[in-house]
Amino acid sequence: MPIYSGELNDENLSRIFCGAADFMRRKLLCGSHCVYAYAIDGLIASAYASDYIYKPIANNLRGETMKDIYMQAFHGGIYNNVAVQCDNLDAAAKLLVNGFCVILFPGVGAIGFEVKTPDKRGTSAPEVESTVKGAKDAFVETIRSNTSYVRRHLRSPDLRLYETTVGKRTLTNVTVVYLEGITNSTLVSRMKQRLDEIDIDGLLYPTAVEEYVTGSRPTAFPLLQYTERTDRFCQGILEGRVGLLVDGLPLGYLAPVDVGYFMESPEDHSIDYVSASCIRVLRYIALFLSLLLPGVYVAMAIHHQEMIPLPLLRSIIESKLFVPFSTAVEVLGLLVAFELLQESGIHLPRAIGQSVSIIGGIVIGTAAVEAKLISPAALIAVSVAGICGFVQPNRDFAEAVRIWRFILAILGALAGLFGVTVGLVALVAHLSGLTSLGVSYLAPYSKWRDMSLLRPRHYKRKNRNPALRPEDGRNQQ
Amino acid sequence: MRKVLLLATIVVLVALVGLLPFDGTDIGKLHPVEVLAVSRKDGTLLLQTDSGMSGTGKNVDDALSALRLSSSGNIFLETANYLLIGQDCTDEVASFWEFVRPACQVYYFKGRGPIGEIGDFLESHPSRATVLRCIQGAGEIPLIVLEGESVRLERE
Repeated sequence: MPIYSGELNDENLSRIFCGAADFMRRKLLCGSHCVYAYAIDGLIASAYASDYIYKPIANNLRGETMKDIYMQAFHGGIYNNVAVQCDNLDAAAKLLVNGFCVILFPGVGAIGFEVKTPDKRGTSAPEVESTVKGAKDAFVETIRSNTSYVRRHLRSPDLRLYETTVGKRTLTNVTVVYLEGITNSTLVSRMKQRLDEIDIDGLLYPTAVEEYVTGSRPTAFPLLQYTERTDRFCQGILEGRVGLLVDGLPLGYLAPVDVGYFMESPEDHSIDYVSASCIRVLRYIALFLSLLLPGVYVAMAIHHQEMIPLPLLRSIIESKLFVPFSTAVEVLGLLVAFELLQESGIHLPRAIGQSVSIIGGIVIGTAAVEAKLISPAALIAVSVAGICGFVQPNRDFAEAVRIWRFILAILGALAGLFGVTVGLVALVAHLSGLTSLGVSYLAPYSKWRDMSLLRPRHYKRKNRNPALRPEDGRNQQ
Repeated sequence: MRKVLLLATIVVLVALVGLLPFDGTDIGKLHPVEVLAVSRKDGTLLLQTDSGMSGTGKNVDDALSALRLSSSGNIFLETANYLLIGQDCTDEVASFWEFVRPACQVYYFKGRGPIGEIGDFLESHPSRATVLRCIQGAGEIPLIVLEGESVRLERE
């Protein structure tokens, strides 16, 4: 549905942008005819507009009628790579806010010429998903730059980019990326349909994208994979996933995803398969430790002390001498303190954040133990769980695990290992009910042969992931 | 309707939590026992632990109650690895089935000496006789002789 209605003329176009100090309007003469040029200062490169639009208009465009001038301009009279015809106010307004210079030919129509400013953040190395050997180009905020990065990695003519806008006010450009002949057309249709159904003012935050595209289900677990790495994004497209690029966000999204995908790190494909497999196994162990260690410790310390070997039990009891708090309060308090430390590290400036995190850790770790406020055993259990949480490659997944860690610790304090087991069963039931664009979240673990515990050698990976139902299942002969 | 059902489910779950049979004890309040010695003296049963606590009574239950009352915390018998019984207390082994682990190793003992110092010795000289095997009537029970500070093993 168009936002602006009315005839495409100078008055209406000027009225849309009245009050905008960066809106530029110029009246240009082409022989005996008069055309109007519009642009948004800051979004266009003024030098390009002058040399490749205004100058040709003044020097080249001649004709008896406005229609003649219009056709000359559209068919090369004005030197520009991109020329888009607009026949309504809506189209003209959208082109203006996307860095186009719109030339209005009164009575005939308007043409938008792309003269976007080259000012944008340069390509930089990934900040979070860094690797030693992998590519060092990360996505930036400009969507066209991002699509060019994708093209450089995936030089296939079958690469398709479906562009649309989302957000009634922000008119955010969104691109769906897929490989024709590989990506299942149903997945592409679902993604397009989800984007078309979005009815919001603006799509400025990553969570808005994730919640709207995945359907905003009540789960802490991510249903959309984000990556700042162009190579990882392209690898996902090659596997048969659908990619999503959003203008203004230096991220690429991939769907569908499953738990196995979140357990893979970009570093896995940069090192040999033996090391990568060992690290992946370690990662799974870390996942279970991160999730279960505090809960199991609380459960065993309160309800099942007989399971603890006597020397360890004596050591724990001695460490708890004079500690006024119960084990449950200790562990839950430490989990909260751990979260507070992390949160403070995020919001503080980098120069201070690291120092505060270190000092906070030292204060909690050393001073609290020496003051007999907490026992070393509880501190170690929570710290190990926290460190194991940082091993997870995906931050959103790790944060979901942190939430469930709390729940399992509470259940362990209330009902021992029975409570932890109930919590685990609930977690598995929750995960098995999740789907990402129709693909089950636990799909890799439904069949033994599909489990991705180890990283297979590249020459053995002859088939794409069957859960994605790709149109071409073989990726090598 | 859905909200009402959700609220009702939460209330039921919270109530169930209160009905759970689990009665936990914080680990910091435990007094774990590694060695438990049972002997008879003047017709009464004497229980001694390696942590220096003791209790007497006509039978095992009374003696255990006295032992628990004499402790400044919760006596934790589930960690007992070794059960030393006087040669005249063989019949009492079965009574300990409820209090110690079935795999708790059983020794006869005679003589006098500090119980708290013999844990390492017993670890180096494991007994094949456990509480479970003694109840089943199998397993040879070794004999520990306490002579003051020294300990030695005799087999009978």
